[in-house]
Amino acid sequence: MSDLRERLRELAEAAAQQGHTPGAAAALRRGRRRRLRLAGGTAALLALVLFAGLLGADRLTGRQALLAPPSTTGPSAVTTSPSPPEVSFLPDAGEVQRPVGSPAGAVGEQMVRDVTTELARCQGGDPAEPAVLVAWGKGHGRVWLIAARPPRPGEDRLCWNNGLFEASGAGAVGGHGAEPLTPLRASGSSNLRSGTEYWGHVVGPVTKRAARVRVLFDTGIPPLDLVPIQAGDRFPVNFYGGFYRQPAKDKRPLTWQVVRVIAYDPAGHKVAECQAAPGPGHSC
Amino acid sequence: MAGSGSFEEFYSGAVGRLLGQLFPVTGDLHEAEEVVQEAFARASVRWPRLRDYDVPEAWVRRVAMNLAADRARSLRRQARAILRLSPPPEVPAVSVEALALAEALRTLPVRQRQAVVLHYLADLPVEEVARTLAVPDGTVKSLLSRGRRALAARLGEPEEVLDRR
Repeated sequence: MSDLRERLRELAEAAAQQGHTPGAAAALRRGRRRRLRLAGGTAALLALVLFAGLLGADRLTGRQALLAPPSTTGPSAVTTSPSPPEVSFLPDAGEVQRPVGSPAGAVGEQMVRDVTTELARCQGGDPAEPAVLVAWGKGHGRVWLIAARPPRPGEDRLCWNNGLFEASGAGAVGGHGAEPLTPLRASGSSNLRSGTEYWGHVVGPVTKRAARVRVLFDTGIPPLDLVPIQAGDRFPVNFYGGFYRQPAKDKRPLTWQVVRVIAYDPAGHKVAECQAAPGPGHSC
Repeated sequence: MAGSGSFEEFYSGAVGRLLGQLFPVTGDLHEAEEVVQEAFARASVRWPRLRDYDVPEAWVRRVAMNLAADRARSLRRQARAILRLSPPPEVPAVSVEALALAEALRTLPVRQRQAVVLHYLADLPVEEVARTLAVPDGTVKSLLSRGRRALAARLGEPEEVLDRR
């Protein structure tokens, strides 16, 4: 039996060998971006202070003018206070395009921000392209969203996230990192209570060749057919998502009922398939 | 290392080691890559000063450890709805024993994980672990003791076996 040190060393060596970091140049670029962001924030703060200072001085001058005797000379030259410098400061989430609109209200806005902020951490995608809220939907007292960042030309990875929130805004975001681009993936959750019923949720990217996605379950849940949501030309895949009804609460809390997902083209031919790993985990 | 090297040399010399040290703390290879890269990005901004440090790697490690702890706390907050949306953590191919350890480490509080990794993997003495985590020496001893005990229980092995030198 090897001891703690040996086993930790094995883990560390494997991580060092199999991990991928984008390199020193990428770290330098990221550092520069970070510095610019911080500089932007500081400049905005300074501008605010300056503006407030000028406003205060103007008010003071105005008060003094009221107290001073009227001038007997002509009006002095008018000076205008300089407007605060324009500062371009993007929050971490960056710009978000919403071709499909977005959930309403401040809570909806927060959901979009939660999903896209997490997406901003993904090391991949075209930095020149904003994140896109590609799909969202409602059901059973919940809102689900999918956001993704268009990949760079030729990039074989995809940055996408999904979020599932209650009406109050409480919820979770599934970050998928820069996953290798495959024709079909699935993620989701289960045991979502709505009144006396329990629901599961399945979501993922699918090849653009697919016209239908069929989700197969264990525990006697009938198959679920979903129509892919068109993500547009900037994405190499489309997305799908939907809810399924569970007959009861699943007593295996970490087990997903989804066992297989199959994508079919318009002619009904299978174009992709993924098998959910047995045991804990909600992905395939 | 101190004084003369370029950032690129420093990066290529240290990134693998730090990735190896951060993976057992985050429990997810992608997370480890992310915090290590962010720590290096921060180091790049301060490189003119950092290069003169005796061990610039210690600074990057401390930043990466702090980022890992922040992210662990943030993830805990996000998990308030008890929904499992994410795929299982990305783990490199290792032996069954090492995999069991990775899984057992994930059940420890992040501070215990950090103390165990810094002491047993980075071979830092208790005082240095305390400086890195900005806690008193006694706290580190307590974190190590509780961490060892919890790991032994999770792995079903006597504590002495884990602590063998």
